[in-house]
Amino acid sequence: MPLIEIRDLRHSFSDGWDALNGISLAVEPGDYVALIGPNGSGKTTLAKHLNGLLTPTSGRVVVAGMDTRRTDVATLARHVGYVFQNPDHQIFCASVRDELAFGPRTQGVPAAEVEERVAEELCAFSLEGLSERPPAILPPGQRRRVAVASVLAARPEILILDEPSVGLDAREQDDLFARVDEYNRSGHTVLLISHDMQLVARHARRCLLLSRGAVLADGTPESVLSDVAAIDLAGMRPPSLVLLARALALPRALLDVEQLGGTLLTLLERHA
Amino acid sequence: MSLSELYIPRVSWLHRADPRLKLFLTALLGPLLLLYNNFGLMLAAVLLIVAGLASAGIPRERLRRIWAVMLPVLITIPVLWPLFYQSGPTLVHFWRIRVTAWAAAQGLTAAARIAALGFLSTGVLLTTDMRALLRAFVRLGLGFEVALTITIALSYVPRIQRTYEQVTEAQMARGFSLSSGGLLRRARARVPILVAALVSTFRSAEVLARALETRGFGRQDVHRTSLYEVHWRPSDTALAIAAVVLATAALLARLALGFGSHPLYLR
Amino acid sequence: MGGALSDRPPTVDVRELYYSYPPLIAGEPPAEALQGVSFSLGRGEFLAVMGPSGAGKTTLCLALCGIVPHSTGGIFGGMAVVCGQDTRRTTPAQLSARVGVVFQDPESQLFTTTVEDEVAFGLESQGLPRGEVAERVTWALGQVRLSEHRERNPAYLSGGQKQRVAIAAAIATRPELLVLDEPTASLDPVGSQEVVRVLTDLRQELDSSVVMVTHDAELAAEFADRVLLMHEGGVDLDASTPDVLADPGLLVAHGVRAPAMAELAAYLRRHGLPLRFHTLAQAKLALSIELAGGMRATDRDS
Repeated sequence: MPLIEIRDLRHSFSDGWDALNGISLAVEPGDYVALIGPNGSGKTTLAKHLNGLLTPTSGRVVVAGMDTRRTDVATLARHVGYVFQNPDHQIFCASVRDELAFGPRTQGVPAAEVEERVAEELCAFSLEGLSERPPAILPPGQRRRVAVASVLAARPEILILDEPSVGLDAREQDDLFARVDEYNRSGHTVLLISHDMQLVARHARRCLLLSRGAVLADGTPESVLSDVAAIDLAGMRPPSLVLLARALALPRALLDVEQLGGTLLTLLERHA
Repeated sequence: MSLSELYIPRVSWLHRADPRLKLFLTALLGPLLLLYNNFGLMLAAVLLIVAGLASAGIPRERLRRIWAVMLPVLITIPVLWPLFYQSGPTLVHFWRIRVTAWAAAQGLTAAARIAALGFLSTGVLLTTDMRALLRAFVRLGLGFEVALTITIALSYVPRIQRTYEQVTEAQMARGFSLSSGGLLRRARARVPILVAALVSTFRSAEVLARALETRGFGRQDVHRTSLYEVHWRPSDTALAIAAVVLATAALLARLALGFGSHPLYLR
Repeated sequence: MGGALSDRPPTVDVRELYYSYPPLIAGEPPAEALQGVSFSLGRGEFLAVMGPSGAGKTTLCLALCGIVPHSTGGIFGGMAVVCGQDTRRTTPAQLSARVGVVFQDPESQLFTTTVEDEVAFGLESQGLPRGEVAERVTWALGQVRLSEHRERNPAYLSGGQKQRVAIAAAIATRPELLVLDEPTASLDPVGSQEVVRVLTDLRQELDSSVVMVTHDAELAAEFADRVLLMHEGGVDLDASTPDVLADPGLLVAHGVRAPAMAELAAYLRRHGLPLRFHTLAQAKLALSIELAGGMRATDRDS
């Protein structure tokens, strides 16, 4: 049975804005799914249905066997960890250590295990030296790491990351995703919301392109990101490697520099 | 709906009027309302003011919302008043409470007065754009820095409200329960939300302060000009004169003739 | 030709700039942000500043407009001369006549109730007469393609539109120096594209010098003449854009993801093809020629 099941989900806000216009999809445990699309396409609205922050105007959303219309947010939050776009909205403790401990403590995890998890995440996110500092005064990149670490410490079945790479330099991004990828490999489901296509191509195994509240494409990152027609329809620009491959009439659209380079070299050797 | 979001853009006599006139009218008529004690007259005042706003194109929906905000107070006061003031002939007697006609009327008058003051004071904000209000304050002599600070502070209220809502969502997503436990526990549960919302707001305010500086705010050596201007028209003068005449007449009637000093009787 | 241009004093002349912020928690040592930064920027030049988080890029921006040190306190050493003014002796408000700044967060840097007022604010601060203010507002809004939104409340605009308003507000005073601190970082791809288009047009229209901090190497590749690679408060490299992008490893070491095109070029070079390109347009051209040239060689043989 799928971990997340969404059937013909529609959502209209009170001011009349139709954010989601009939979305149906299923996510299996252990999936690594990315949601891409421009602002206003419904990515965040869709994600907020998964922990009950929003409930469907029509249609059904079932997470871990629970219908979100009949389950409260606190219960769903035990299964769904949501890292918000703005880490400052989730941070409030006096020290990084307390922040990481908050999630498991709220769930009633025994103290010894809380300590263990905190130590693990401090290490995974390179926050050991900062464990006693107040998160609020840390620079933005570190605050984001604290926010993600604190949600992970609660060990949710499903991890949702809303634009996690904003404000992080390339190295910080790679470190963050090293931990997230590891979390996925250990059996947890990850839902990544991002408008960074290269990021999606590097980490996700499944990609959904959203536009105006509907799914335009659903497949591997490679197939979706090289679907130039769909990406165009969504009002976005395909990755430059895809555009280059098309311009040069290469047989396959590729997202990887090495693959594309290799293909070019083969073609040029053939002609030489 | 906060103070800075009250404005409804329309074309009307009130919208066209110089904001300084509107401020003047409010300052003139407000104290007058405090002076009068007659229920009939106060009710007439409320209806007149609301009619005035309606004639300025303010939609019924907006007026209804202002009523709704004031309603708890408007109901409580007439109900409680007879419990504390019991002068005059009795109307109704139950248990140890003597409800008199005068006290009932006084309570209703006080409620009507609050309604009148409520609509009067929001009148300026309903019909005046922030930029016009700002310019009017500056023309009246309030320093630009102070005037700008006031208008920015007013516009920050909805921002803080939005941030508060977003933080609440983020905390609920972390398993925070806001609806469990007794009143004290629930109040304490709001503290982390307030902390995060305030810190977020401060960060935003810091960027704002820097943006202001890089656009020349606070420059002492140059006299600041303004693209937007408020214009005092002859119609404004006419209205001002009419208001002064009316106010003087009303003042005389009240003080010299005792008109409207009693809740029930006109004299 | 060159002589006439090089006679003009540089727009920015920074020498051994040192700055540390006052500590956030009493008793702690000051937080060092800049440790001996030196560079200069000529008129009309476009400089991209890149580096990992905490390298001092934002502090450098603040130093160029005077906010450091006037509004931040701390310890300031060395010298920054911007548009002929020593930032130690000129307040940010006075410098604002010649320096326009666009911050990263589109939400926080707008504070008026109409787009028109937002763009006019800086001009009003300079005491310009109303007619001129109106003219310049019209010009600036045209540059960022927001003329139809003149009367709208900035709070209701999209991220890309807000950022364009901020740009209009910064260029309205026709500054000699335009400073942009990660202008596209908080925007979605659509908003980013809008800003990129505006910057492209501006390059031709304005003769301002530009300093842009960005994490996006593709953005730098598109616009910058030169790149400043910063690291822990110092400048590691100050070189032309093509030179910097030819070494993707260097970018990676500075927390910047190299543009896909530059990585591709480096890959091909490693395998014997001496190609240099870092934008999509350049890549298309260079590779089409290579592929066509290859075919012509085959035709010749047969």
